[in-house]
Amino acid sequence: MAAAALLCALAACGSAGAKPDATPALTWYVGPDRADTAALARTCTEAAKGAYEIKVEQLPTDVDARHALLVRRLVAKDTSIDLLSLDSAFTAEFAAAGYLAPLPEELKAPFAQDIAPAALAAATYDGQLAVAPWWFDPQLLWYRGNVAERAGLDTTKPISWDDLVAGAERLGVTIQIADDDGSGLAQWVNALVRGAGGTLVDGTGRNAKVGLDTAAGRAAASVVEFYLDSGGDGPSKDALKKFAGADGGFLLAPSSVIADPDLAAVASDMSWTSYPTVADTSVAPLSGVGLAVPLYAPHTDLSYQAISCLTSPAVLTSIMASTGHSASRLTTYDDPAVKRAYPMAPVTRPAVLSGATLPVTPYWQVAERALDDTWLPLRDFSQDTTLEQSQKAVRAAIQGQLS
Amino acid sequence: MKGWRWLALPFAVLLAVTGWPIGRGIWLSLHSAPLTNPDGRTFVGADNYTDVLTNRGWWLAVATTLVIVLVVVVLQLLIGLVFAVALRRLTLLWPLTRIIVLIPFALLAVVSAVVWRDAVTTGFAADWFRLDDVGPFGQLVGVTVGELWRGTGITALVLLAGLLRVPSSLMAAAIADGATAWQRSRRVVLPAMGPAIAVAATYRGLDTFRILEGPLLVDQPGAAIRTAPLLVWDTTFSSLELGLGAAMSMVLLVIALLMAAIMVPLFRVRRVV
Amino acid sequence: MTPSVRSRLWASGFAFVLGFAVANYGIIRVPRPDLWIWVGLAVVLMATSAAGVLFADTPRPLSIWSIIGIELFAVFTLVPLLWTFTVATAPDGTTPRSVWPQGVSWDAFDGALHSQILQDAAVTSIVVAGIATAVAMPLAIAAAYAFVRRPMRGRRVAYGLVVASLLLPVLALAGPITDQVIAADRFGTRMSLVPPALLITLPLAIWLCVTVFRDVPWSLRDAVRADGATWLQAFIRFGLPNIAPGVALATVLVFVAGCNDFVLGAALSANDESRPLPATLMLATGQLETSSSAVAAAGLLWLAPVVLLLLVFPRRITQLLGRSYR
Repeated sequence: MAAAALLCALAACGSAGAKPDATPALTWYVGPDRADTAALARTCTEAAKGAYEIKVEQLPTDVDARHALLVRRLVAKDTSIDLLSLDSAFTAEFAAAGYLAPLPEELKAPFAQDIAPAALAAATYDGQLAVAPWWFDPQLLWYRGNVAERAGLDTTKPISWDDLVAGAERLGVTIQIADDDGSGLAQWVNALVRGAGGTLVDGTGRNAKVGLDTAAGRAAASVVEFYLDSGGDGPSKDALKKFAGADGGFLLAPSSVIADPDLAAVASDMSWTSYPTVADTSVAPLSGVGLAVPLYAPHTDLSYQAISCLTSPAVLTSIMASTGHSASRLTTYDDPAVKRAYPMAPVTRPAVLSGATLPVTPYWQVAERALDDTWLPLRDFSQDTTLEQSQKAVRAAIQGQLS
Repeated sequence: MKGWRWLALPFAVLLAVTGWPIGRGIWLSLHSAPLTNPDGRTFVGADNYTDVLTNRGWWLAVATTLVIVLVVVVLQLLIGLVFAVALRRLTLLWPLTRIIVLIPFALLAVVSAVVWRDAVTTGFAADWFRLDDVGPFGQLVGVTVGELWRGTGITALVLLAGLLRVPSSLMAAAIADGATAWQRSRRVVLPAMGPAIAVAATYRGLDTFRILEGPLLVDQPGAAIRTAPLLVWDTTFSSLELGLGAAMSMVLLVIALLMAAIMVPLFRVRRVV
Repeated sequence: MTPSVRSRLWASGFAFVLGFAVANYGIIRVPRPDLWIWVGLAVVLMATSAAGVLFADTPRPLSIWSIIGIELFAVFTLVPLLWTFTVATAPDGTTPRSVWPQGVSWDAFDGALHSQILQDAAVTSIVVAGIATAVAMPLAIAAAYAFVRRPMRGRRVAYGLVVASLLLPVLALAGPITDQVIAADRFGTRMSLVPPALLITLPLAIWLCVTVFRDVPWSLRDAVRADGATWLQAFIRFGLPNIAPGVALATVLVFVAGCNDFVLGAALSANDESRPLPATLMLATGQLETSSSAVAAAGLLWLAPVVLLLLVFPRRITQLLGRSYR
């Protein structure tokens, strides 16, 4: 039975078509986020008072599998997806391919209102808002108990990577890097390059510049090498479990991990501060989800009504208060309920403003594959050879060539 | 010439289903055609081919594939021959062995790849031979052994059909003349079995050349070793570069053609209708 | 043909050494319960060895070498099959380590039988392969008739083309076909899988039918016709009994091959409607480590009809396949 359920979840089955009964069902495909999407769907279904009914379907956890499944469905002009939780990293590609229904003009202003600039940029392609920004998580430096203090780190100021790694090594605790869906390495490298003042991929076309062989790229690589030499594992799916384990000390993970069941045992003992720095300022990896409507969705207007509901202040507040996801809309941070139940705000709000999203280009997915392919396995990483190979490979991938 | 009247329609269909995709592939391979960027489809001439043909990774993958083909075919022929000889002598068990011999071949290649990967990572092979974290290369070896296992039965069957063609009168004469077992197998059995061995080698070789399931299953980012079919699949269906993928596909076709062109005269494969 | 005493003694010695080695390795390195498989194999080999010594001088045509070969053949083929079964029946949340199942749970089979996604996939596979076979067989029969009975110029070249399309790497055509299907706006429909499936079924059908037709005693038919039988009479009296069983079996084999194709199905699968079974199984494993037992169970269920077929027509199938390859 479990096996069947798994298969079902993986292939995103049971997609309901238009049913003959009065209430149109909107199928909402969600990614592996920690928000209780079923409850949110219920909330908006009730708020719609019979105009529509939202059903939730799960997309694969792995980023490549999710990408492949969505591309195949959207190329096939699938009509079974009404609403889509679209990774911010896919938005440019899907918008360029014309897979998404254009946003109604009258909704563009409300959807873009008070959105953090980085989230807005990631939701925009070619000058047009392509999706409704929803939540947008910055990564934070989490630590257990008083390890930061014992490691001699001053958490009131930004901590540099060098101090963090040296301090953790002295204490004999690990620095774990969370990777929920397989894009963790790319997010990490991208943020390090940006933190050193460079850009990983600059431009949206085939001739985009790749910034790994610059001074910033080398600074990022030396951080990675220093971290690996101290015994770090790199981004991994088990990071949360290991952080909660015996020698766990530090964790780099999005704000929503606070709600993760793997951390339930240590959650009360966890503190946080801003993402470690490479140069002067903290540049945290940012990743999020926008709500989109596929071009061939049958009830486009209802889908946009549902999106208006899902991006309403009440829903955003409940997401932030109950799951630790950070809303894209900055005014949500000022809500009293959020202030009570979301204590990370003083760190996450500046992080959203200063952080780095994955490059917004239609060719990001191939660039990420090339990056992963040259950097992994991390135990073979070397600043001298890997960086050069990776620069060539990412460049070739964006140009549509073999590396 | 009357035969062509019977053959015309089947051949028209056959040429349509093979020729059309090949033609489309050649046309596509002259373009840069990213699937998710429809405006980006541009004519690039032979650029894709120069890219593929000058790429070190591609030729490494081709070499890997050919090594796998060679090892698998040789082992399949040897093991299959042993089994075929044994099966021929023990006619008593034929009803049973006939069934067993074909079951692995009927199992889906995906399933065989999954269970063999599990066998070398966490399962019985790891347990019996104390394999400790075999890594991507070990997993590739595992699924290749799975492919070897799948194809050995059918190879044995083909060789058995060849063995059954050895004239028993000739064999009896050889024994009466006092030929040793070695002489018998070299002078009597091998010549009679030659065609069967040739066909088995060619067919198994080309069949192994195109396996995708196992390598696709065990592939992971940063893997040092990949096979040529896997690269074609990745480029076409993961990177969604249809033009480059088509160029690789056409090169793959030419390599398969060259394999056939070498093997058929080499083994003197003659299957005349 | 009776083997010599010397040959039997050599075989006995070989079986003994092999059995001894197997027993030693098993006892030293292999944990329970698989230890018993190793010990069992060792016992069988040593018993063979003893039998070889005892009956070394018998006049019966008993070949010890062949017995060893059969024993190894059985182990080689059956152990991985047993392992597949063990993976399929592993209780939820456990990873089996031994070939011998420790704790059998039928949940995976139950799940596979009741999974909507697998049922859809199986229907897709069967419908597509069924149509492709139905189209291919009449064409193949005509072609095989021409090849066997209507000698013509260019026959060898034509046959070479059939074999070439039988063996060509289908993967190389998957990309262009997908591009064509998308361009024709048919991507994601079940019927878009049918024309590419002909790529699998048609060459195989021609190839098998040629074998069937070559084994038909055509001179008999000519004699019947010469005796004044009409075409229809000749067909009923001669054609049906001689050709029909072989063609029926070839049809089934072509259908099975069509059902088991992975590459084209995986390339063209967009949604639940257009995803055949092999592609579904690959998708399920690509994304989650723990679904091995679901995949193995589905694979064994998919295998069941073929095994049934093998049980019903063992001799015909092995003959057809063996002779086709000749």
